[in-house]
Amino acid sequence: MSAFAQWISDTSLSLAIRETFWLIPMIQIVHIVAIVMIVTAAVMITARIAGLASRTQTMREIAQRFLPWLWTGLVILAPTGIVLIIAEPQRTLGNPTFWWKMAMLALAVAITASFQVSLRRDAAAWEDHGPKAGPRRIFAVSSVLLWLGIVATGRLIAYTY
Amino acid sequence: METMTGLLKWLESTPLALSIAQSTIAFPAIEIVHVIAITLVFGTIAIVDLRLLGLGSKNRAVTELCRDVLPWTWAAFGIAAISGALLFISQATQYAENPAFRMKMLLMLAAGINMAVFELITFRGVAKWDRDVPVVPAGRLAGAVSLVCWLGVVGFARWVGFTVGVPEQ
Repeated sequence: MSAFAQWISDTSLSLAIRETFWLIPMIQIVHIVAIVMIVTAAVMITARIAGLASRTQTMREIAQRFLPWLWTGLVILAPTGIVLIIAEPQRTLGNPTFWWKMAMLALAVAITASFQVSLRRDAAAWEDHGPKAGPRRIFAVSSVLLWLGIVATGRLIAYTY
Repeated sequence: METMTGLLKWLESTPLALSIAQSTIAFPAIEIVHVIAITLVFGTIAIVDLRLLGLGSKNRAVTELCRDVLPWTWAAFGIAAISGALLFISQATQYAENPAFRMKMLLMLAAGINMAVFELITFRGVAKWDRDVPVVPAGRLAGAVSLVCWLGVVGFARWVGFTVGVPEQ
């Protein structure tokens, strides 16, 4: 990995990004705005599942409202993240914290996708507040915790490379 | 201004500030809480702002949406303010002198004034534009100003991170 990271670092693209002093901060800010969309969407959906917010709205309405923001956020996150990796490969690819972040990201995306599929199949089940609602709530809370973990490890990259 | 410098230096020398500055874990941990909180402040206020601009949640009454979402905004803001204060005291002088930090504070003040004007004046007539009709221009302006201010806060906050850095261990 180190040799690969070094190779990327030596490319003219990588150098060009690093040499434009405002570029990395600017791309980080866009990356952060994308994460704001994602985390807020995930929190609002989970709050609805837990019956803590938007109780006047159906589960389907809330999902339709917020899931597009989540997926749009991911669409922005990917290219900005890739540019940041190209700009500073050792800080990312060579850093265990970064790989923890990627692992959590993969899991969070999988959870979100399976939630969306499940909701499409049986929206009513997600409205259920009875005793069987427990596993679904745990599922929803886990996804929020993962997103928060992604934010945390994202910040920790700066401390651990 | 000397009293300000004196105050800042005193803040930095408090046991609390020193413990944050000198601990390898405290600063990053508080910073992470701060970042998560600010993420939720911006995200939730954007939900309301987009409604005011007619760009989101259009099926919901403004009053109902505000009642539903704003408590989260305030809770997140409280956590952001407390964690922010803890971060601030650990390097008070450097932050106070930093132009990006000052811009961040200025934009938050602007957001606060914008909110006060909206709540105290514009919102009084909300019954007329609560649902189904476009929000009055003053309300749309408030939504736009709020989005710009908070986006600016996020941007300058990132710039502060770049320019001030973390406490030297």
